[in-house]
Amino acid sequence: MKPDVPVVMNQFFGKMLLELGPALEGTYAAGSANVMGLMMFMAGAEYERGAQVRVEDIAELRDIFGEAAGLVSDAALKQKLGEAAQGSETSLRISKLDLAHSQLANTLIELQDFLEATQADWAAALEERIYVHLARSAEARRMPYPDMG
Amino acid sequence: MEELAKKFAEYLQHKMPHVSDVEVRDLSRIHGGASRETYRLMGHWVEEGAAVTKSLILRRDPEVSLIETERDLEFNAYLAFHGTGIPVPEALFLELDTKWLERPFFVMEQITESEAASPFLPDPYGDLADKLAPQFFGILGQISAHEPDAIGLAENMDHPALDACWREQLDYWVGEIDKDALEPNPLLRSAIRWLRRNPPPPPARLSMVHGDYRTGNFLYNTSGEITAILDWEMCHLGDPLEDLAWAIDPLWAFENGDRPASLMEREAALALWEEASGFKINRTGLLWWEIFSAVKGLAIWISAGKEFQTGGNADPIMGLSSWYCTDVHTRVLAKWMPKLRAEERS
Repeated sequence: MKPDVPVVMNQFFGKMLLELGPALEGTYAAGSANVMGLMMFMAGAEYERGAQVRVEDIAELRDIFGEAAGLVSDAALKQKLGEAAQGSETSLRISKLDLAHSQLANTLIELQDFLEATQADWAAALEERIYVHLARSAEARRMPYPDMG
Repeated sequence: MEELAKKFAEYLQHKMPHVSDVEVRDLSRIHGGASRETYRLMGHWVEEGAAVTKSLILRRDPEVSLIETERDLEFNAYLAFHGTGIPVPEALFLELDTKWLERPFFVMEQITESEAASPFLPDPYGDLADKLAPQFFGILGQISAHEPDAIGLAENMDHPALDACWREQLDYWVGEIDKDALEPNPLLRSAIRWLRRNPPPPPARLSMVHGDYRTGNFLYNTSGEITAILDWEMCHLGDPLEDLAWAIDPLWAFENGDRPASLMEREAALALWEEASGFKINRTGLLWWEIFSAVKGLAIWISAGKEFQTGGNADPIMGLSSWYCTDVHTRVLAKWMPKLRAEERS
């Protein structure tokens, strides 16, 4: 599909900021046009990277759960982690990936809570690994911000 | 807009029966202010035979807000601080009866020839930063220094125990997160658990906390003078470090935590606040409130996202708050949480 979605969004962002916004009478409408343009710019980037970011996050979480399942002693959590580690995606639609990621993130919250109450060295190491994942994920999902200097 | 102007003119006439020929002109909505609909307007009337023109601001409750607040809190804050040396607009009328404009609203003086900067620009104040910086942190210190009961603002507010200030705020915002979150955020949840395990030392005394003291919530003129501190709708009694931590949050400085509010170097800002407030900053306490600021911010952005997603409020600023601000505060926590947890374990 041409033009590419990010190209379209970036062009529309420029139009909103430089043409439509200034042409609109009233500061409220002009301000809204600017914000919509900015969000178009962000949406363009998200369109391009969205599936990749989510698939990587899901794969990493499953890998973490696989490691954790071999370490935690709590039987119920161990089973949940084992099951989560084995899952796989049948759709690459963003909404489906978001749903899968949300389920895994809830399991991650449960695991972190467990690890924080566990004094063993392996728990500290696993917790650290989780924070490395979360920092990497947050960075990968960073919203691009145009230079509007 | 014409209908709103007509109805508001009728309201002004009702509130000022001694004047005649009331007209409302140049009514326009101001962008931003997602917690209230904000309009600027010119009021014209005849009083004792003379023509009067007054620049006014109308703040009306929205159908759905970014943050649930009581409009009388903000109105009373303007009333209380007016004339105390803290620059605020003069509060004029508070109206709770919905027969006038369908929703409650209040009216205040418009501060003219002044503007508010966007917090989402790398250098919002340019050459005026050096002049604005000591005022920004000094005024915040003065707000903290005020005896809340002495200015009459505190009488209808909760007075939390000193050692409960943190819990009251944390419980409230976690409640908002639990109510509105559409997706889980592991960094946010780990921060909340850390905050509960590591409460801050209590403040020396209760202070008036503005609740949203930051870049973008004050007006200044071209001479570099701060002319008004706005948006008091989240004011409450609590730990003054809560306000300081929010004011220096990286979100309000284009993520430059070393130059809070995009105004001045961090340590100089803290020293200015200490001097103006008379409080000595407990660094452990300040760190707690800085982490809390990210949690509170995320609570607000989560609520904004929910309102937009569910159709409650489709103002674009709600969508942007949810996308951009959530991203920044999540990354703030991504930076802090590994360090804080490692310290806790050691």
